[in-house]
Amino acid sequence: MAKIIYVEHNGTEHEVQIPNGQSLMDGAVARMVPGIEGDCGGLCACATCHIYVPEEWESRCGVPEELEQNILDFAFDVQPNSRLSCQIKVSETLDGIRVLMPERQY
Amino acid sequence: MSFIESKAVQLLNDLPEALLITTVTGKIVFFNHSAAIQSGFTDEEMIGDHVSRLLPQSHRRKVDVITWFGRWADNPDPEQLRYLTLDGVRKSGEPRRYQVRVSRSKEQGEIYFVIVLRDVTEEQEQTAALRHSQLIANRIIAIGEDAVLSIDQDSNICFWNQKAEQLFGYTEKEAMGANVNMLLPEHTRDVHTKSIQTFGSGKAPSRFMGERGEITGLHKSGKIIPLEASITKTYVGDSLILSAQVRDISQRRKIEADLAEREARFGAVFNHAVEAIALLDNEGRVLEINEAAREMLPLDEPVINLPLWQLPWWRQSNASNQAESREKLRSNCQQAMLGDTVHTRTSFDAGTHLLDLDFSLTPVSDSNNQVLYLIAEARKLVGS
Repeated sequence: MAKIIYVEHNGTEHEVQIPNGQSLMDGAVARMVPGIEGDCGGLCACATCHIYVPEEWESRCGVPEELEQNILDFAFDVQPNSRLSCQIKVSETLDGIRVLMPERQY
Repeated sequence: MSFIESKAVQLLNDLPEALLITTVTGKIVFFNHSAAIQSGFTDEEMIGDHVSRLLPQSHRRKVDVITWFGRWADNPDPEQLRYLTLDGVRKSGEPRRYQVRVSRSKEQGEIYFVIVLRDVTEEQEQTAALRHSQLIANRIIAIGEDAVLSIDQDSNICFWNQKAEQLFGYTEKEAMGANVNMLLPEHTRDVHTKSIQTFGSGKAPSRFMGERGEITGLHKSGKIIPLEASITKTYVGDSLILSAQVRDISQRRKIEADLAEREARFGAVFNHAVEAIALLDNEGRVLEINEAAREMLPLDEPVINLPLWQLPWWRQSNASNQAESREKLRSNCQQAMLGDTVHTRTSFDAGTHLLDLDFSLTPVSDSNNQVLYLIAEARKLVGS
């Protein structure tokens, strides 16, 4: 279980507890956090669960695979710290992470 | 062009799907009829032009569509039939959403991309609207004060919100799929099963809190919880889903019990006081009288809501005396209503003789010095 803080583009913060092993996308959808769509259900086939990971947490989120990097090309307003939240699995090492959401997913 | 070839071109042109073919650099070499209808561009306009003309120019997306077509064509994923979803733009400038599938074709040493486009703008808008309304409904359920849960036709839990988690002590993971009996004390399970069967097969779509009595729930810890529930039914296909909004009323029960206890204590003091006491509203009308006051009254005469000065206490044999004493009392009440404590002596017709009374009116004010009540107290003077 880890505490995850999702920050909407407008600054609204959603603090939720997510069980280990769930992806940041699944956790957000299950807890009804707005701003993360997850259209493809976590197959890494859309870019609608796009988030920004703060620099200090990047290493703990793992290195994105090529497919994720490719799909990220389709996301809106991609930054160097952009990730797809369906590809980040929750574990205790992410406890307290604040991830930021883009202005829109489409 | 052979007959077969020209037939094939005709066929591609008539295809109900929008289809275009580009070179590896993205130059359009074929643009069928459906593609023209969908995009608003004619084939004359598009053939020879670059495929990116169908995409909006956005500096906020970095996708290089030709690189992507190459990647996607290399990995066509036929089992899943995955479509890429891209932002597109019509000739009019109107933004659209396209689903795209790409394959690579080699013809006389030249490589081409064969691209099928589906305009999914409306579909996506509808899905987004539905998703947003679901999000709103779900978030309302999530912040609601009541636990919300649903059960399927086998009485297994298939929806469980956070308040349900707090109320019954089971996490969503523990509750989902479990039988609803887990939430009920053993002796109530059969009755509950019958009652949900009756409701399920009955005509009413919903039953509201208060329509049926209190029910009892069982917390994970074994604690019994008094509950109230509203229930509604929905068919998903052929299967019946029952959803309930459940409210813990133990706090309300406790408040009611505390209130009753306080009222009993107040009643004990009020009714067993030696002095006659009446509680009046701020216009002098009787709200309550105690036992001692009631004993001074003729039997069964109604007093509640009557102005104090009109009570039968002040009935006197002499009509002018009576009017005079009532008028005096009324003016005493008015003085007390302004906030003054009034202390006086009066006499009371006890039938056979007059009783002399020590009489007081005490105003009770709120924090704004607004008089809410008057307390009238009367005590027999010793020797009278």
